[in-house]
Amino acid sequence: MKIHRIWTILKPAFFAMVSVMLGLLVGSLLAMLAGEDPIKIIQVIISGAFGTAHDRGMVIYFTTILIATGLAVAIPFQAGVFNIGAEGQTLIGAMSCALLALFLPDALPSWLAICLCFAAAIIAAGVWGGIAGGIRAFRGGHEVIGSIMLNFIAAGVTGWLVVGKFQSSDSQNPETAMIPENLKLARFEMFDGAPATLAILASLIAAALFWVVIEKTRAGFRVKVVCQSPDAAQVAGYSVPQVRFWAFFAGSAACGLAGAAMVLGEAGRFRMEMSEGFGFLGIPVALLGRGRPVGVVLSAFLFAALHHGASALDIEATKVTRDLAQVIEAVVVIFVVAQVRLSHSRGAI
Amino acid sequence: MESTAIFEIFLSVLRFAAPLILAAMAGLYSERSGIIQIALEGFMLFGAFVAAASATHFGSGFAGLFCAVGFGIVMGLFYGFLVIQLKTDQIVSGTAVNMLAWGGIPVVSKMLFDVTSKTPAIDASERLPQWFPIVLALAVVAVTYFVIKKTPFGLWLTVAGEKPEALLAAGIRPSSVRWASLMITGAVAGLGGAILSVCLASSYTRNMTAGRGFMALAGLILGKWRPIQACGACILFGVCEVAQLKLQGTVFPLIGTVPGQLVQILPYVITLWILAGVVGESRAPSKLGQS
Repeated sequence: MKIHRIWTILKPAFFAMVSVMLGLLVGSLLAMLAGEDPIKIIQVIISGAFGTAHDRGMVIYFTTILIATGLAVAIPFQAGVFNIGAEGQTLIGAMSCALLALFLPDALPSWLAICLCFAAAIIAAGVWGGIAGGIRAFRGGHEVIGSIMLNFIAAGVTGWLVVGKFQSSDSQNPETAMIPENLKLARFEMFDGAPATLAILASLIAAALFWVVIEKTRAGFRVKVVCQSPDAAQVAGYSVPQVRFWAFFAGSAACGLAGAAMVLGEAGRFRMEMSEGFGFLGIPVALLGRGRPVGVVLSAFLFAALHHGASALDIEATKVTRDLAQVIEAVVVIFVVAQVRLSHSRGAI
Repeated sequence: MESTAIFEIFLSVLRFAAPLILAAMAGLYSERSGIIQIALEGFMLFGAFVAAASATHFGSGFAGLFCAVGFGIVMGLFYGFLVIQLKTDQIVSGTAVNMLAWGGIPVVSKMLFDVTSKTPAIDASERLPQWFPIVLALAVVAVTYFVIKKTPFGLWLTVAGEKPEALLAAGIRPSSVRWASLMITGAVAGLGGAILSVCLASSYTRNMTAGRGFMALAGLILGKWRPIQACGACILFGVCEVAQLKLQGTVFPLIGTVPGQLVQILPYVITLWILAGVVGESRAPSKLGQS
């Protein structure tokens, strides 16, 4: 009995490890095909991720973002809906955060202003995703299509706001003016200037909150029932559309954390298309973490390390580039999704 | 003078729309048979790269198109292996195919040409004429219309997406129909990518599809999964794109400048409205994503 319980907890972790190993194997085979030494490639990625204090700080920064976009996919999945719109939700969150930071009165204390900026990012991202969630829940339009449309619309609207309305006068790039110095999150000193900030704490708290709600509250129970059997949920008197909508809203809201971390923690301003694919990366993060809070945190860390580590390939390898990381990620996704299908019934990740 | 200018604009709309139309037709086969097609973007990108690479290798634009179609079929079979054979989640698998294209093409490009950003330019004499993609796209629409409306395969396709049990009762395996539809999807989407690099440009440049696969998906939904309407929706995308370019810097009386970005997103807003059932109705094949 006990061994069985331990195995049910460890099995997903074990399979996740196997998938990552297989991904790295395919990646190094590809590197070998290109004429590189595969062992050296792995070493470059590892030392690129953890070699210096600055690298470790960058990994923490990317982890901050990927936990948020991973949760954006994982939370709605608990209710059986798929959020592919983290890219646009992050943009909208970042834009709202930056605009509020630019226009808040200077008299406000920094801590309050920063909290307000985070709140603006979270609410704006949640509302943006909530459009797709609402269309799915109340009108029956597919949420995947809805969130893809919202990705395009978010890119267009934020692009217009940057270029047409709030373009920084001292910059050639499409970006807003710098936010006031006192609103930038303090970077941890030990990481040599890398944008590792307290935002990581916000992401971890969001993951913890996700765990508490799903495991310990009645609302979490409803979400699980709606995912596993919408019919049973209806018989029990739960409103399936309501549950789906709020799960989608909560997931999208997590993207606000990613946007705020980018603006307040790293760039200090909004840049056009600053989400840079981190929204899409949330999908493999959530998948590898099996949609579980702890799993999402761990796989966000792993993907962050891979993402940052692979950037060293551009300098230290001659025949492969950082793009190898994305191939490894794709292979990991394929192996995980195949295993999930083979070992589980439909609906759960 | 005036009429030639209008004709020029008309042509540039169709040039922009042609790859979208092909990709939308590609998605139509797959989605009608019940399989969500998020991977159009990846299929197109592979098509664009394979076409440009093989066109320079063989020194012929047509060879490029053929290779892109062939590779598209292979990718269609790969996607089919994931979603039909292994019965994996279609959205996740589609995303994986896209990631494979985004990451894999630069890696292979680096191996073959030592750069990730661009393939060598195709000789001007070997480039296909600019009217070719337009004619090709409209021909594919006509063929698709005929296939869906007039052939048994078209009927099977629709039944596979609406009521697969009925197909099974008639002695036809829905999975076989879906395998066939995915091969067509791969081939046509590959062709859509190929004309981008071989006809409308002179080489493959990094990430040159720039979301066109997703745009085509929007066109498909806007066109209610029907060939002619989807083609019309893609032309609307072309109109908005060209309008966006023409509007840059134009000052109108009373309203001032019209921001191009907002014109560009118009089709997506319309698609979203239709998705919400606010205007018109766009009903998906009922077994979409559940096969």
